[in-house]
Amino acid sequence: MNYCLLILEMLLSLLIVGRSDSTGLQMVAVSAPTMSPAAMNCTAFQYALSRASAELTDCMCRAARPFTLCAHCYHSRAKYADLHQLLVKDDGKDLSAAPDGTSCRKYLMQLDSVQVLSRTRDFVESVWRSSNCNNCFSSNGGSSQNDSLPRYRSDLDQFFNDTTQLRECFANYSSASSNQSGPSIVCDKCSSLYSALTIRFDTLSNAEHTRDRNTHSLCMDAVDAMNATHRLWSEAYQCDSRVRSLQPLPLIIAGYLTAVLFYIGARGRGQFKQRKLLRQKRLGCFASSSGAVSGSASDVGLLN
Amino acid sequence: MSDENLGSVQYGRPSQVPFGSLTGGAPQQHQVRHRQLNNPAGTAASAAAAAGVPAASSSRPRATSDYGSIRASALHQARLRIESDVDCVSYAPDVTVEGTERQRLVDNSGEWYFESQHAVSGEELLSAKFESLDYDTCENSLWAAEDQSRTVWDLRRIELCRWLVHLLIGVVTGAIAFFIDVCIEQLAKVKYRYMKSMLDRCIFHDCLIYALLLWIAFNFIFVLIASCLTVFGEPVAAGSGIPQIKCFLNGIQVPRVVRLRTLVCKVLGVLFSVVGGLAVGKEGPMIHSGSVVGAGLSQGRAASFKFDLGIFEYFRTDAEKRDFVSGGAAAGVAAAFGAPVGGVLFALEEGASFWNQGLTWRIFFSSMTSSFTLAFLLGFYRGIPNDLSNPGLISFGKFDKLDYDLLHLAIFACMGVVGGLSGALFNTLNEHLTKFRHRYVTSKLGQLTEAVLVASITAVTSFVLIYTVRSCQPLGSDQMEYPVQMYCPDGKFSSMAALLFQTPEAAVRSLLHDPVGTYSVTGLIAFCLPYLLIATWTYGVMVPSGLFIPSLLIGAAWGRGVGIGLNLLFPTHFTDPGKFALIGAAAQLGGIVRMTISLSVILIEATGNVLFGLPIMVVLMVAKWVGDYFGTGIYDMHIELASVPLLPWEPPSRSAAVSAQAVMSSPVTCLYRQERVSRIVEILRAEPHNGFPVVSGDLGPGTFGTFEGLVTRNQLICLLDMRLFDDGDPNFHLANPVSLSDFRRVYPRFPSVRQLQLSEADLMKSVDLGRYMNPAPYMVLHTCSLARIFRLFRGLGLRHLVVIDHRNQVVGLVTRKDLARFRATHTGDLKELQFTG
Repeated sequence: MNYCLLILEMLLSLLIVGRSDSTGLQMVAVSAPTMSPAAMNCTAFQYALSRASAELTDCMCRAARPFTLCAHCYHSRAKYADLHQLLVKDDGKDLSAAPDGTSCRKYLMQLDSVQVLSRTRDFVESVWRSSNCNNCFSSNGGSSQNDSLPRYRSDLDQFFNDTTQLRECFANYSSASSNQSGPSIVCDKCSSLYSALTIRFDTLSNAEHTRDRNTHSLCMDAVDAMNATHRLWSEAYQCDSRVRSLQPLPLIIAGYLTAVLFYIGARGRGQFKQRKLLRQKRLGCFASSSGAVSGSASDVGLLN
Repeated sequence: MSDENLGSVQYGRPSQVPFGSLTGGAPQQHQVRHRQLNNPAGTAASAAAAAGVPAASSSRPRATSDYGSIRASALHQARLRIESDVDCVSYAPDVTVEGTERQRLVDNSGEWYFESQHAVSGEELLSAKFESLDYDTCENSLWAAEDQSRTVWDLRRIELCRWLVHLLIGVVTGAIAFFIDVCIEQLAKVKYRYMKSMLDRCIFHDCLIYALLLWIAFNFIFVLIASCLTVFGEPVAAGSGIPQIKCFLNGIQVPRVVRLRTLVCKVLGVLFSVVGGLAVGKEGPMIHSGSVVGAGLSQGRAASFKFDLGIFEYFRTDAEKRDFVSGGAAAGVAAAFGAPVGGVLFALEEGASFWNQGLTWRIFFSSMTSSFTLAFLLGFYRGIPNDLSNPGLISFGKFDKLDYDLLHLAIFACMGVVGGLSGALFNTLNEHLTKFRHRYVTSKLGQLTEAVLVASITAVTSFVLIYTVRSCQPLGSDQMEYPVQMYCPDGKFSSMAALLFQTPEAAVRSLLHDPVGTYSVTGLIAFCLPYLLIATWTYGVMVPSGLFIPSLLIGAAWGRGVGIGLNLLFPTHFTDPGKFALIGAAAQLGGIVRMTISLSVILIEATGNVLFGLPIMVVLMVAKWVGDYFGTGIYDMHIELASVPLLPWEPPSRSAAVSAQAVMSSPVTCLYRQERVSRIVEILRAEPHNGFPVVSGDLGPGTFGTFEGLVTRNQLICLLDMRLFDDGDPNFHLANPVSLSDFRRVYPRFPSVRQLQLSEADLMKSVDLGRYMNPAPYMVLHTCSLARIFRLFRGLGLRHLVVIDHRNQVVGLVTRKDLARFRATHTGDLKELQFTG
C-alpha cells in the first residue's frame, strides 16, 4: 500500500513539474509487468497506466515549443486513452480485483477524494482539446502504430509540406545572401511560396469556421506553424510590405465636411417657428360665454 | 382635443391684491410669489400676459374684480393677435424661437418688471396635444349592473384571462427578441465578412478608399431603411421608446405609441440601425416592442387591420391596458438582457407610475416567460436545444471569477464618480443637440439625411480609428469571427478593428472578457472619446435606437483602460481588467440613465454573477448621485424636451400655499342631467375638452351649478352614436338596454363628433345623462392646496378633478395640464410653464 502511495505521489509531482526525469518512475515502469490486458493484475495495471501518463506528459512538454503536440503525442495519447478506457469500463473481466477485494475500478478511482487518476486524465484531455488535436487527423488516425508520427489529414499534410518548402527557401536565401541585401532577396524569392501558404492556411481555417464556430477550430499544430512562419516573415526577415496609404484621406475629410455643412445649412435654412400659446382659463377672465353652462340670458350677462 | 377647459382668461397677473385672496397667504407676500410663478416661463409668460390684457379689461368678471391688469409695453400691444373667434384661446405675440429681443413688462406700480434676453423656445413649453388616459373607473349605473351580474366563475375567468394574456405577452416578446437577435447576427455576418475580405485585399492593392466606400455604403443603406421606416412609417418609433412608455404609464396618451404599425417599424428599424453600424443597441426598442405587444394582445384585436378576435373584451379600458403595458415593458427588458428580475424592477423603477402587489406577480410572470422563451429559441438556434442553463445564453457572458476587496470598492466608487460626470456630459451634449434638432432639423428629408449622415460618419470614424491606432494582437488570442489585419504584421490582427468589426453588443462582450493584453490604454482612450461623441450624436436621430449598449460600451472601454492602467502601476495587483470594464460600463450607464436597482439586477443577471452585486450597486448609486447634481437622466430630459406634461412623483416644492382656485381651470363647460342632443353636439364640436361636469340648479356668481356627476366626451359620443335619446321617457332604458361592453366596443378609437350621423329630429331630442355619468367622481374643495391635489391626482391616476365650493357648486376643473404646468425651479421656487397648441 505504501508503495502504491509513493507511486501516486511521484506521478502527481511529475504532472505538476512537467518533467520526466524521475528515475524512480522509470524504474517502476520498467519493472511493471507487460502482460496482456486480459485479466491484468490491478496493481500491474496501475503501473502501466502511470507509465503511459508519464510518457504522455513528457511528450506534451517536449512538443510544447515549437508546437507539434498533436502529431508527436498522438500515439502516446492513444495508448493512455486506451488504458484509461479499460479502467473506466472495467467490469471485473479484464482486470482482476484489487488486493483488498474490491473491484479494480473502484479501488483505483473511488476510494479517496483527491482522485489522482481522474485528474490526470482531465488534465491531459483538456490540453488535447485546447489544441484541437482531433481536427488534425482523418478519422481513422491515418496511421498504424508502426509509424513514428501519425499522418495529418491530407489537406493539412499539404499545408505542412508547403511550410517545409518555405522554410527551406528561407534557409537557402538567408544563408546565401550577404547581410545588407539578405532580407530583400529572401522576400523576393520566397514571396510566392509565402502567399500561397497564407492562402492555403486561410482556406483551411475558413473551412473549419464554416463547419461550426463553437466546436471546430483548426488543428493547433498548423496554426502555430503558420504563426511562426508569419513571425519569421515579418519580424526576422522584415518582409512585410504594408505601407500606410493616404488614399482614403480625401474621402474621410469629405465625410466630415458634409456633416458640418449639413448642420450649418440646417441652421441657415431653419425657419422661425411661431408657437401658439394656449392659456388656461382661470378665474379672472370670463370673457367668453361658451364655456359656461347655457342658462338664461341674464346668467350669461352676469358672467360677462 | 385637449382634456381641459383652456381659455383666453389670462392667468392672474396680480398687481394690487391678487394672490393673497386666493391662496390665503398674507397680502404683503403676494409680490414674491407672483414673481415666482411668472418668471421662469420666460418671456412667454410676460408676452402672454400682455396678450390677455384687452380681453380682461373689456370684460372683467365681478367675481374676480380684485385682479388688476398688467399694462404691457406698446410694442407688445401692437403685436397682439387676439383671435376672437377662438374662445378662450389667445395667441401670444409672435414668439420666435430664436429671438433675442429684450422684452419688458412693467406693472401698475412700476416696480416690477421682467426682461429677458431670449424668447421662449419650444423646450420651455408644454404641449397641449397630449391627452390623459382614463385610469379611473366610471362607476355609473351600467358599471354597477355589470359588476352585480358577474358570477364567481366570471371573475375567475377574467383572472385566468389576465394571467393568460401575461403569458402570451412573454412568449411573443421573447419571440420578437429572438427574431431581432437572429436577423442582426445573420446580417452582421454578411456585412463584416464582405468588409473584412475587402480590407484584406485593399491593403495590398492600395484600394482602401473602396473599402471605406463599401463600409459607408453598407451603413448608408441599412440606416436608410431604418430611417425610412421611422420617418415615413411611424415617427413615434424613433429613439429608444423608454421615454414614451414612461409617459404612457404615467397616464399620458402618446399618440400612436402602442399601435401595431409602430411595433413593426420599431422591430425592423432597430434591426437595420444596429446592422447599419450605428452606436445603438436593441434594448430600448425591445422594451417599447414589449409594451406594444402588451397593449395589443390584451385587446384581442388589431384595430389597424380591422381584426377582432372578440376575446379579452373586458380588458378594453385604459386602466387594464396600463397593467399589460407594464408587463410588456418588463418582458422587453427580460428578453433584451436575459434578466427576468431586472425586467420587473425596471418596470417598477423607470416605467410604471402605478403599482400593486398583484401586478408584480403578473409582470414577473411575463418577464420570466419572455426571458425563457428567448433562451429556449436561442438554444435551438445555437445547436444546444433544451439546455436552458448554458452559459452561452447569458447576455454579457459569464464571469468565472470576480473577486474584490475594500480597496477595489474604493476604486470602483471613484469610477462611479467618473461615470456620473461623463454621463452628465453625455446628457448635456445630447440636450443641446436635441434642442437644435427640434428647431432646425424638422423636415422629413432633413431627418432622413441626418440619419444616413450619422451612419456614414460612424463608418468613417471607425475607419479612421482602425487606420490610425496601431494595436496588434497575435491571432487566436481572441475568439473573434473576423480578425482584420490592417497594418499589423502577418499573424496578428488589429484589436481596434476587432472592437469595431462587430455589433456594439458583441463589442461589450469582448471588452468584458477578452484576455489581458488584448487592448492598450491608448487604444481604449482613442476608442472611447470618439465613440462617446458619436453615441451622443446618434441618440435622437430618426431611427429606433437603444441607449444601453452604447453606454455600456463607452464605459467598458474606459473601465478596461483604468484596469490596465492600474495593472501597469501595480503589476502584482489588478490583474483582471475585465471586472474594471464591467464596473466602468455600469458607471457610464448609471450616469446616463440614472437607474439604480433595476440596472444593478440587470447587470448581475446579464453577467451571471451575484457576488459581484455590491460593487455594481455602489457604483450605480455613486454615478447617480454625481450625475443628478448636474441634471436629470436622459429619459426625463427627453420627456421634458418633448413638452410632455408628465407628473413627477412628488408635488413641486413650495406648493402648499397655492390653492385649488389658483390652479383650476374656470369657467367650466357643464351639462345638465337631462340634456338636449343639439347642445351636446354643439359643445362637443366647439370644445376640445374631455370631461364635463353634470350639474343642476342655477348658476351663482363665479359658479356653474350644483355638482351631480361627471361625464366624459367618449361616453357622450357613444350615447350619440347609439342614439340613446330617451326624451324624458322613464321606460326608455327597459326597451333599449345597453351595457358597458357597448361602450368598450369602440375603445380606444372613438369616432369624432363630426363623424356622427344625426338627423334634425335626433337633434331635437334629449338624453338622460344621469344613467351614464360617473355619479361619484373625485372632487376637492376650492380651498384645497396644490400639493394635496397633486398627490390625489398622481396617486389615483385621475384625469379630471372637479373643484367645488362649500355649497357644492362647481367652480372649476383640474386636469393634468393644470398640475403639470407647475414645476419647481432648481432653486426650489415654483414656476409655471405655458402650453402650446
